[in-house]
Amino acid sequence: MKAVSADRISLSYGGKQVLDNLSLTISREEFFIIIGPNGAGKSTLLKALTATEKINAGSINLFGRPQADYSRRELARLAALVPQGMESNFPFRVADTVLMGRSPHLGLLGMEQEEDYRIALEAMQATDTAQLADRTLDQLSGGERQRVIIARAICQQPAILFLDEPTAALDLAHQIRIMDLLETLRRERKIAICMVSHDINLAAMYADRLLLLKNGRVVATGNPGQVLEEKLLEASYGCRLLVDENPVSGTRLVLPLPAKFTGAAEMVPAKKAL
Amino acid sequence: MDQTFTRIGPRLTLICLLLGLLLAAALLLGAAMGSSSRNPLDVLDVLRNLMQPDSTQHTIIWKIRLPRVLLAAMAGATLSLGGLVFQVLLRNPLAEPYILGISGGAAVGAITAMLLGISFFPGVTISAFAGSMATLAIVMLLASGPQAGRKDSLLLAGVMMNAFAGAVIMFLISMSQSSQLHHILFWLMGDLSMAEAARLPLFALMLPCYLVIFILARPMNVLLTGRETAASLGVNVRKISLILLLTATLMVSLVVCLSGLVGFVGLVIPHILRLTIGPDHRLLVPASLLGGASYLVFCDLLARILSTSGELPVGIITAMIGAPLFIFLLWRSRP
Repeated sequence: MKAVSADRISLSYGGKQVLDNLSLTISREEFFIIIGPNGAGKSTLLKALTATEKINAGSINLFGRPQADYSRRELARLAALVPQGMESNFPFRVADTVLMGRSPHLGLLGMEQEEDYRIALEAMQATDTAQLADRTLDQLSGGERQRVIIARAICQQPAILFLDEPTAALDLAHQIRIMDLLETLRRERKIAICMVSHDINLAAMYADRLLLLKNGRVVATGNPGQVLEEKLLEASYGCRLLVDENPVSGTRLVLPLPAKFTGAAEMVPAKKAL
Repeated sequence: MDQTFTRIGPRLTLICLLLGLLLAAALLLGAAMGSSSRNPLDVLDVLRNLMQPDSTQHTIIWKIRLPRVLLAAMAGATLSLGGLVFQVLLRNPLAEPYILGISGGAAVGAITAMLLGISFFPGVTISAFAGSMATLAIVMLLASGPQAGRKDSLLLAGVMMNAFAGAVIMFLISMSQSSQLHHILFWLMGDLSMAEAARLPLFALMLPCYLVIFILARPMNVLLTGRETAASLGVNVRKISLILLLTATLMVSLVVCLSGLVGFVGLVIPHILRLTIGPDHRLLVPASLLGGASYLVFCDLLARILSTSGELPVGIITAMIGAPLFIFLLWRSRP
């Protein structure tokens, strides 16, 4: 049984086809990364898979059961989301934020039991955020914040974790730290991970399988070696690329090449002379 | 037991106990003091006189002050809780039924029904509810347009709807030949002096509203994280928001029918409480009820003591306290 299997799904906003007859499967405990150019529909795909956007056609199954058959609460006990950016007009403490991950497991009045506190504390220790417990979200750095949101997500005890560009605003050290954390969570807790990323090189090093998306369609899917083909990527992103091997990891290394190294043909046309 | 998480139970008990005592003190002072007795020590006299059913003071307290104090308490509780709910729904700590024009809309509905001579219940109340829902719909429509990215657009839309509602009210009043004009004008300014014991049972409608909101306190916390995140945490965002919206609008329009336009209670009290007890709505909901009730009883007492001749509508007191605070908060929220 697959964690996720989407069969020929389509989704359109105001006449624009954002997802077009798209199919994918994600196995249990798989590290699955969705890449693709801006506007390819990556975030929308994530929203469709987490049921925050309704699909117009096709079907999505989560752990062998149609997504539509789940209640919101059931869904939240199975799938957690780490969204891109977060507002914090209301200064919740880190401890309270993480504890919110217990919401789908609590009763009507939402009173936590000792077990819930134990799970939340454990989630904070696993993400190295326990020492931040008393701070409010707006007092944290980008990396700390991201780890807190991941702590909240694993506090839901999900079987699959969805993330929307979790490394986007982070420096190199924090990018690796977040990715290593996700890899550890996947291995130790047997959580499937499905993330959207712009960073092809990070994706190549961590993903079990990649999906290259363009114009709402699957261009290629498979292990990183299969998907990260020079011709495929150049056609999808519309720029010249250097595709080489990373000598440490043995995975693909992808670099965009500036126009000045690839000849004038690719250069942005200069302003017309007066 | 580790100290990372603060347990909710003991805090809830403590907060309810402290604010409950405050409310009891407010009610007692409010019943004891007034234009005829300005000494807080009169409380003792009151307690003594209550045993003598024939005294004048007994009549004043039971027939005039007590209904008024109870009305103030329930109006304050409701407006404060209403503010809290709108702050969650609009994810903006400056949202408040009066500022958003919802109270104004209710007043337009109520006045229309009053001038048409429709009975107070259910006529005026239903008309007020319709007025506030219409205003709310327009405000949310305006604030969700192309300007939605701007945080202030909601407040701006609310302020404009409020101004428009004010103009409609003045128009209706100037066109009317009603003998009740003085009465209506006073009511508009937020007046508790017309409290009638007969109308107090209307507040039986409020208790279920309070209960619904308290049950939804935890989803309210989650809603503050944003629609998408709240959904991923298991909250049915549309359903919960709709229930909260209808409940809050209903109870605020009822209060407008009973006590007119009393503004800023829903801004002042939730703000002070958030600063002192934090943003958890399982604490904020009961605290806003008790705190709002005490606050309006004290404001009304102040209004009665300050006015040497006649009456000072309590809405004037709450606006004099609330408006400067609003301006200060707006100024501080600038990036």
